[in-house]
Amino acid sequence: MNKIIHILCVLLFFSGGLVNGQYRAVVTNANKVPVELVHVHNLTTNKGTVSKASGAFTIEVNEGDLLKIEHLNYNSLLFSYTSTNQADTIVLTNKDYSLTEIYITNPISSAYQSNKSKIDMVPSFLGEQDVVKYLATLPGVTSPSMLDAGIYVRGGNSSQNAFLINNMAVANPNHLTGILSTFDPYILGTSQFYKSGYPSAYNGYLSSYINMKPSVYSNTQFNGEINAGVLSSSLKLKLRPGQKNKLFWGISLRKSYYDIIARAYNANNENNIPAYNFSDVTSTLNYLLSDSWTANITLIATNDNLPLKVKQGISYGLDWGTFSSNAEIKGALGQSNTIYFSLGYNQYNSSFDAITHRDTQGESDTQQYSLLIRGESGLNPAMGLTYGLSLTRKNYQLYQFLDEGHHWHENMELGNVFIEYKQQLSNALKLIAGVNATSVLRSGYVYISPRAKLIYSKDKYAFWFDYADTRQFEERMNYFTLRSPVDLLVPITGEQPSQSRQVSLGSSIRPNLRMTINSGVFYKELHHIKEFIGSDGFNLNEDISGMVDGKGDSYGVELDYIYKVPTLYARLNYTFSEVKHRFNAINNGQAFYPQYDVRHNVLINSSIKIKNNLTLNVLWSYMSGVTATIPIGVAIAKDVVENRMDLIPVYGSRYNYRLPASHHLDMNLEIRRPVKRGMLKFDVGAYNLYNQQNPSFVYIEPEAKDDYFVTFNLKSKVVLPFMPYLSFTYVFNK
Amino acid sequence: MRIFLIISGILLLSSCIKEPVLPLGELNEKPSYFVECYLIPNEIYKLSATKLQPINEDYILDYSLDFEVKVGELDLIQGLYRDEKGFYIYNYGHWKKFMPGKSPSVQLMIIPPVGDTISASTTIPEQVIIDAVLDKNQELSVMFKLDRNPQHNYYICKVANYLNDSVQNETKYFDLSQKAPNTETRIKMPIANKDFDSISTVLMRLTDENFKYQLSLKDAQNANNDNLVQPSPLKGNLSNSTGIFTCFTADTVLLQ
Repeated sequence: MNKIIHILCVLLFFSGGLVNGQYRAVVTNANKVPVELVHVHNLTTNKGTVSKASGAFTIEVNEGDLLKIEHLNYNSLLFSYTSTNQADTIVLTNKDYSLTEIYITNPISSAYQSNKSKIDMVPSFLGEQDVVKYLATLPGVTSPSMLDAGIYVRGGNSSQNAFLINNMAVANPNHLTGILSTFDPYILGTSQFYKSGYPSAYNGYLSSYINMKPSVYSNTQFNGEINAGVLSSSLKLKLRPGQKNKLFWGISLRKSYYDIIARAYNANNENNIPAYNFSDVTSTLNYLLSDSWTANITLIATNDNLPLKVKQGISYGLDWGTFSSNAEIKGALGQSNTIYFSLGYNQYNSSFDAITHRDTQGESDTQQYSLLIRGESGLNPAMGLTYGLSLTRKNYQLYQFLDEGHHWHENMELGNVFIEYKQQLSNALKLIAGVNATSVLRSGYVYISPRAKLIYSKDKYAFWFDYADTRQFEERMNYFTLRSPVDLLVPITGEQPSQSRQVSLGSSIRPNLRMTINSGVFYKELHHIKEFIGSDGFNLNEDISGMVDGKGDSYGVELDYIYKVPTLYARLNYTFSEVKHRFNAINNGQAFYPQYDVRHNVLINSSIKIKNNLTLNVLWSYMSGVTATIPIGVAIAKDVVENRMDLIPVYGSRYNYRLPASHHLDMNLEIRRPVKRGMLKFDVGAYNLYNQQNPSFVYIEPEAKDDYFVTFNLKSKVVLPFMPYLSFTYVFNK
Repeated sequence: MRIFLIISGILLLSSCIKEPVLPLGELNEKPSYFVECYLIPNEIYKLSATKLQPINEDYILDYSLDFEVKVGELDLIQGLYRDEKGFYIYNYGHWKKFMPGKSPSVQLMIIPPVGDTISASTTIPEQVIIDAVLDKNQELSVMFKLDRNPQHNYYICKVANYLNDSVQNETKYFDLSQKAPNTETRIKMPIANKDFDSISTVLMRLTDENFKYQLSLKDAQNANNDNLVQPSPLKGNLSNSTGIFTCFTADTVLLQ
């Protein structure tokens, strides 16, 4: 017995002094999302480890050892280990020092990141926050029309943006116009947005990549929101059942009732307003399989219906819906390797029933199956490797009845391999270089897209240069003049895919912790971009064959100033850009400025914390006029059916007129009041507070000057004037 | 109900939208001439030739421009001509009636006061004959035989529904060029009211060029009315001018 006690005493003695202890902790970012591949280096013993997918790590330590925590995208931490007072969670801050903006200021990733707290600073129309609406406030991003739900990035078309969840493409759920949200940040808590310097893993779109990640963490076991707005309501829940915190489930359900209001309004008015309705569900399920392996399933399903009565005898019935799902398993292989297996399926279907002088009905359906295997290896704290492969199959089909049935379908299979190497060349200089090779499998062609990025980052300054080549293998054919949810995706199978080559320079200066000044310039060369000669919305099968090939370029300058103190967030950004296209088959081969050529874009966004429970969000945006197509003349033509004279506008070149600049001020006041088991949130606000008459489109109207002369006025239609809104939200938790 | 009234009030407030007039400014493109000529068997030759009016100038319908106009071997004479029914005015015509001969096509040549010669050619569709019109379930079935030439199997059908001194019209356009030529076919037309005093059905047979032109006229009007149709130039068959030179045939049936 004495011998045993003696051995224990010896062991205790050594454990207190000579034998290492173990420090176990979890690394998260500011959003409490676990961060993997964080290098934890014990500088005293020169030993290290890497955090797992769950953010957990274990390292041998002695009292007083100096630990360094390093990750490519976050600020390093250096501290001395004390066994009695050491936190079990380490929170890393993004490398731009600020929690509010990473964007260009994070030269390491060249990515803009958003999270719910940033999105909340933008006034929410109808109380609905949205990832895409937030992105539209960033420099280099425009949303020329509130009727158009798309964003236009650095002179690119809105069909050139990839929407991804966990790096897998999703069908873009187009709710009508840009005023209703599409991606709910309650579930899709963090997003990375790349407008240049794309990671080598991404290809298939020319302008930008938006990778959304679902929230998989909750402070409480149960929390949620019930929102009641003027036009829609929602229910959102996050559950973390059990004590082991292995399972997390989040769901958001929304339903509009604008159609009920519209029908009530239409019953007493001749001018019909569209009885639009939508519903959607976004859900994520996350399960920690072990300390180092995680499984996640995320899905989005949407359904929209829009009956549109234009005038007597002309009406459209439009329906569209999406379903996107992906499953991801990720985990650690060894100390410094992480591997991801992902499967994805998404579907976009739409139907139209047009009653006009030519009745037509149709249904289109696009399905995508994807497989992605991706690996990340931290070779050492200064060197990293990302690599992988993906396979995608897309089925496109259209059935249209126009005088008789027409059926069109195409398939496309894409194979993709990528590799990216990251090397810290010195304390301040970093190189990222990679390549993406994508093949259209049936054709056998392989398209190589090289990427490179060089970053110099020291103290308060960061400068970077990047080059990215990217390809696009499908183009959107508009059904109407503007982008709409019933547009058709057409694969580029028989021709060269569209190509963009972009060089970009950027800088970030942070004079102090309150202030950030970012700037950037870019030049983009566009080859084999696609347009459609013309579509009147009737014979879509014929219109598909009107895809033509062209080229173009765009360039621009972006400036971004951010000021942030606890009670005030203020941001001013300015973008100058020009985009020019040229197609032999359009405008007689003359170059033209497409309708998203926005020369000057100014945005002021401010969030003022008036009191602890009172926040005022203000956004003012100015956009110089975009191009539109107006008639060059008028003719008196014979209506052979009615046997009368008709005044016919005669159109010439496309985009021959520039609209005046548009601007609007949006504001919302958020009042929070604690109540039993939660909080009551009251949002009151308005879109276009001073009712600026921003033209959405233009038309020619004749006006008799006297008995002999007629003059023509170019009039503009304003679709989105001053619009007030209010909503109530009950936030609860347990 | 009160909430609906409040919301309707908000919507009404929102719909108080002005339609501001924008400056037209200078347009770089100058429109050319506009010519329309519809040859109809057994009707006199009529043609209108004017200048397309630039949008940024006051409109003057000028019929006085001197063109030299030749249809086939016939020189058209400048003057003012009007349809027997309707109000459309032509500034070139001839007292002779158009009688389709053995030649399958007719040529047009116009020498304008300034600019290049305008020319076009059209084929001549067979006379369309409505075989029967059946009224069933608030829908009309119009039966007829297709042209032997698929390029002439484009149709416009107009149904006028007369009831108590009021009339409701419905017009539809049909592309039947994919159907077997020279066979019996039927098209369906909606009727606005199931009760009627009489229904007039007019069926017009068009060439493919004329059909595309008629649709482009509609599209141009619609593009100017709303934001749904993409604006695009008119689709005619004239070289060096905007417009159409074509021939069509028509038949009418009245149901009492």
